[in-house]
Amino acid sequence: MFVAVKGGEKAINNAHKLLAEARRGDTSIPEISIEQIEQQLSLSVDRVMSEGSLYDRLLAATAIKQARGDLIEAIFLVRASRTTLTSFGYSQPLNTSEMQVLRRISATYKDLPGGQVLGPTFDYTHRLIDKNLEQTNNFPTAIKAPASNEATPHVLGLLSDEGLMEQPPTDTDAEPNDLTREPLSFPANRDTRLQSLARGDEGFLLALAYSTQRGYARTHPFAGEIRIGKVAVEFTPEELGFTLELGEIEITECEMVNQFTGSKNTPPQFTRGYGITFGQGERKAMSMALVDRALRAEELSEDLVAPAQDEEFVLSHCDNVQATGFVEHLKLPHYVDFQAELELVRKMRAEQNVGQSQTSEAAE
Amino acid sequence: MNSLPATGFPNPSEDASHSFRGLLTAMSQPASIQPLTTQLPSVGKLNPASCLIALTLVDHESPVWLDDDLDDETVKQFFKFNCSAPLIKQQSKAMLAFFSHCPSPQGLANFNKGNASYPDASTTLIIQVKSLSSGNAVTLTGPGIQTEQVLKVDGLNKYFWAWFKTNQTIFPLGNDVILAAPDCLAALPRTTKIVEVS
Amino acid sequence: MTQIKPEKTNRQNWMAVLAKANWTDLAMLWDDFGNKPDFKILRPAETGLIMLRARTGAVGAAFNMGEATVTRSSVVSDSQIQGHAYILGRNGLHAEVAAEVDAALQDDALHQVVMARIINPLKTAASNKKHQAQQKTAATKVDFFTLVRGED
Repeated sequence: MFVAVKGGEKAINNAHKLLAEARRGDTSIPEISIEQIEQQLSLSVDRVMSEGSLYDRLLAATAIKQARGDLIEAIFLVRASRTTLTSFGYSQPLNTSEMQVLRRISATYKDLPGGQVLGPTFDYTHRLIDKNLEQTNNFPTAIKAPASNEATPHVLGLLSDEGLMEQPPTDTDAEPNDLTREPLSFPANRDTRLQSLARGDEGFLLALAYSTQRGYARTHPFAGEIRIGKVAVEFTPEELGFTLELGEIEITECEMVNQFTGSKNTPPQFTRGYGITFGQGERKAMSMALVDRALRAEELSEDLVAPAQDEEFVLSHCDNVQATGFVEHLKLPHYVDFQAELELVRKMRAEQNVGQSQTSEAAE
Repeated sequence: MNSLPATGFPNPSEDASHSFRGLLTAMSQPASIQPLTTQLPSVGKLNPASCLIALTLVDHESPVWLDDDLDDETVKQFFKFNCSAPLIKQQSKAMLAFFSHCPSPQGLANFNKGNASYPDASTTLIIQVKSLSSGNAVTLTGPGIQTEQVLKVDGLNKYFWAWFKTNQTIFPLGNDVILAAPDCLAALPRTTKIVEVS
Repeated sequence: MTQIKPEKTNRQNWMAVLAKANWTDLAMLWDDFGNKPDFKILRPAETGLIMLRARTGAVGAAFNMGEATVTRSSVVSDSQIQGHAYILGRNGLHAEVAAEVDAALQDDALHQVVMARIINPLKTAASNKKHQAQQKTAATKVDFFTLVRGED
């Protein structure tokens, strides 16, 4: 039961002013601009967009500034902000095959049509703190090489052509479920699961993905392809009746290949897990792909033995805005609830004491 | 195709809030006369009240059905441009249906009546009438009406109230009706009961 | 996997160029464009959301991956030609100018000069920028090779 509390307005207002001052920090140091955040903390911006489930770089940067760099708070702000906007409709499905690739790697094939490019990666860095960054204006420039116009088809298409890869579902005309319109219910379809995972917490999905590798729902994964790049967003407004390109967004896509020993109806083959994020979010995309695959256990008649295979557990807990809301609400006044519990415990103890003295009397 | 689409609210967010409040009042106080919160021109045969209702309630997720007289380019363009509304022919899929004049009971038979889990999924019927200040009087009662409410309507055909009565036999399913006069509107939710038709 | 897509119309192409244009470039070019028609706003710039769809496994069934902010605007020129724009982001001025240029491009008397002075320079700028990025990406092209293990 909820009981309202009143009062505290003055303290709350003053706390918010104090927060604003703390956010600004030492005023002898220049204030950070949202453009600086957008450009120089771009991976934070990407994460806030993905888990805030809203592609808008400057809005995410503003949220990060407002949240003093607390990304879950920033994600919360972005989610709240989206509820104030009217909905225009649904885009055409992104055509990631026509991506302008900024990074593309495969752990399964070394020679790909279109080649592998590392792009701006942390991989193969030494993870030593770079003292050069203590100074500003101290950075090397990127090297250029002749660009090739070779197409970059999806790697898993190569396995499909050989018949060794499961075919993706072909009912592409079915209207997918939308969690922003219809609340989550179980059992969830793969479209619902993917939407939920796409906005899910990176840390939670990373831990679940890790658990599948350590033996909790072992799925023998390989990173079939990871790509980062720009794709066009297309939309068909009702009043125009034709498809428009609204601009480009940057996304990260991961396709995991998993061994599948086959079942009664299916020969041994490879199965796939899929992950996608806004911006550059490789770790999240990989984790999402592993968890997507683990959640297909029932569909593929695998034993359900691990948390990562339990869609109710995963989907009900992967949203960090919901999670933080419920965990953090515990700090709000619960005075009446607690008084009730206090009364109850006192009463139980009193009854126990009476009971004990009676038994001890009886024993005497 | 190149004729200009009729435009929407002059101040979209404020005007829509006021008219939404007006429609809410209309539904919660059945048969009460609600003024139009924003003055709008007619669009083809769509009268100002219908335009107001469309701009307030219709978006890309609310499929709209139009009767034959409303089914022309001007009106369709208005719905597409201002509401992004999918215009459909299948009555059972319509969320809102707009009638230039009172339809026959058969003309209402195939609209969505809602289902047991979601009675609110039924089609809302917007019926244009000539006037809500003159014409035959009907006495109504039900939730939202303290005792009785008399409504004068000019523009409903003689079968309408009989249909409205049968609409109540399937409660909680059924259609809600909004009567749209040129200068005002009134709602007849499915819970409203007829006391007497003069 | 390869879907046959209808060829884009000229209008779709120029609307895409306008949507993807750098806002400052577009504003400058349109500012410098003399003899513009007069425009009336048909629908003031409005920001809303579009739910972005992706495909399961990149090629399978669609799912909703998350939303993006979009701003739209519609204008009408003094010769009664309508221009429309839908653009990612929240820049209302960008949407309005894009709608104006869209209207101007549908005007036979203006089409060629607007193509030459607005669309072509924007297209060149965009393809230069893309080419720069591609060159930097190309320099990170990797050729892995596997070594034979020392065991028999």
